[in-house]
Amino acid sequence: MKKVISRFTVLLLLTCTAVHGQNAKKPTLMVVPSDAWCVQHGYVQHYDNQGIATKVPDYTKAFQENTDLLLVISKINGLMAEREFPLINLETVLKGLQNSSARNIVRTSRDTGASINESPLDQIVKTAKADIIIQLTWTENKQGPKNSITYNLQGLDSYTFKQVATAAGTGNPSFSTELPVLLEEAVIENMDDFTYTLQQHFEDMFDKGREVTLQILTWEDWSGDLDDLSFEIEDWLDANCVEGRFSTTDVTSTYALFDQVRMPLFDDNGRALAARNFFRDLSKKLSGPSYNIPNKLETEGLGKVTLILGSR
Amino acid sequence: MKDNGLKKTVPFLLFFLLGTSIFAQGKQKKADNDTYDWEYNIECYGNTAKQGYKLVKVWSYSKERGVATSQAKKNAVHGIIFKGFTGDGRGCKSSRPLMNRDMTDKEYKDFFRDFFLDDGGYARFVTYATDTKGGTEVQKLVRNKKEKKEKFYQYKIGVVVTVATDELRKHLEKEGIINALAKGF
Repeated sequence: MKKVISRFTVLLLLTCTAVHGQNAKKPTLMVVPSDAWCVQHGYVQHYDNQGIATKVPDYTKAFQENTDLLLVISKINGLMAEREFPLINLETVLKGLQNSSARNIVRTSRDTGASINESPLDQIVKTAKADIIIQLTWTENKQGPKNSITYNLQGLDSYTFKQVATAAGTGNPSFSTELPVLLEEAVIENMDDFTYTLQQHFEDMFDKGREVTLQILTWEDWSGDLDDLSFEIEDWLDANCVEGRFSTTDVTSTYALFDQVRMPLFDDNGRALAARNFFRDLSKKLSGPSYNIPNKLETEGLGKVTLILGSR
Repeated sequence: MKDNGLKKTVPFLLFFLLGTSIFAQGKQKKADNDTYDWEYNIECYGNTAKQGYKLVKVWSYSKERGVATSQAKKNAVHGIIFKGFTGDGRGCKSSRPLMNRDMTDKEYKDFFRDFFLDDGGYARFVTYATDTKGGTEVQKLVRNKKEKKEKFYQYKIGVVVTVATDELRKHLEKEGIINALAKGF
């Protein structure tokens, strides 16, 4: 009986490993109105950036005042969910962040009265984010009594800044159709093109690995020379990237940037990898006996890692 | 005497019916082979009001008008899966084929043999757009024989149909014929 149970357990573990190893980390997607659209419709905040007047999008205002935006995002979310790719809803995330921030302000320890510890980096990290931002823009065209819509949907990779999916076009001019109807038609008409190009991107990723970015910074008190060390890092990348694919973009004695790094989607045990897991080995190698460089590994989503050399 | 006449007529009738049936089956088989060999044209026919549906006009070829008309449904589904179509300025965008992976010859043959049988399931995703005026067009094609008169060759029949593309895509994804967007995640 014991033998049977142990065999069954081994079989179960093997099955779990196989099932576990089959799926890659799923990127998150979020629809965001483009800066151009926000400026055109007046959903911006003005501030003085060291003497330069700057406009930044005010998404909260846009969601509160523009029902067409809600309609378009809701339609896109619905169509993507139908394809088993539900999107992060920007409006909900913004509300969640506001609530969480308000709660943290009033939280205190019952014993000591201490408040929540939040570093400046924590505040930056706690913003609405996704691995792929779907940037949305539309403009209304009027030609005499006729109306039409020019619609542009761009899928932008948050780490490589590349456009990975797109759908754009101008609908047929119409005499009487109202804006929400034209917008709905534009979403439906363009969604197939968008998902097609997005799928091409995913297929490329499964074929050649996930494209990620590695940034290396150094603390002020680190006495080493990154210029020399960068060759060792390149050797590691060459050995570990899919088909040795990566590009060295910048190298100075204190800073290095490697992009177009194609990391495998799974480790040797079939476990799905994110950039964080992939570069952990490099971090360990640098802090190990051969180099003895303590370092800190910081992550941004699935596709960007920053290693800071010198201390933790 | 009567019995004798009947005895002669029955085999003749049976032979005639069998022959007609084989002849009709031959035409249907030819039409199926045309679909298999992508011998048809598909074009956009404007927008449908319904989300997830496409209105297309399919041109099929046969010596029999009925066969070409009925084959239109099969051709439309085949066209949406394998051919796609270009926009025509009547308010519809180009459409890419649903097939998004390489298919081996064997896979194609097996898929075609099963899915495109008369009761193979393809018919669930297509209907005649009967409310579209002037939807069906009939053209007689002639073949110009050397130094002889032009001779009727076959019909070219254009039929407008509605294809439930979203449902078709979901079905093909479920059957593993095409890749879903979330495949691998």
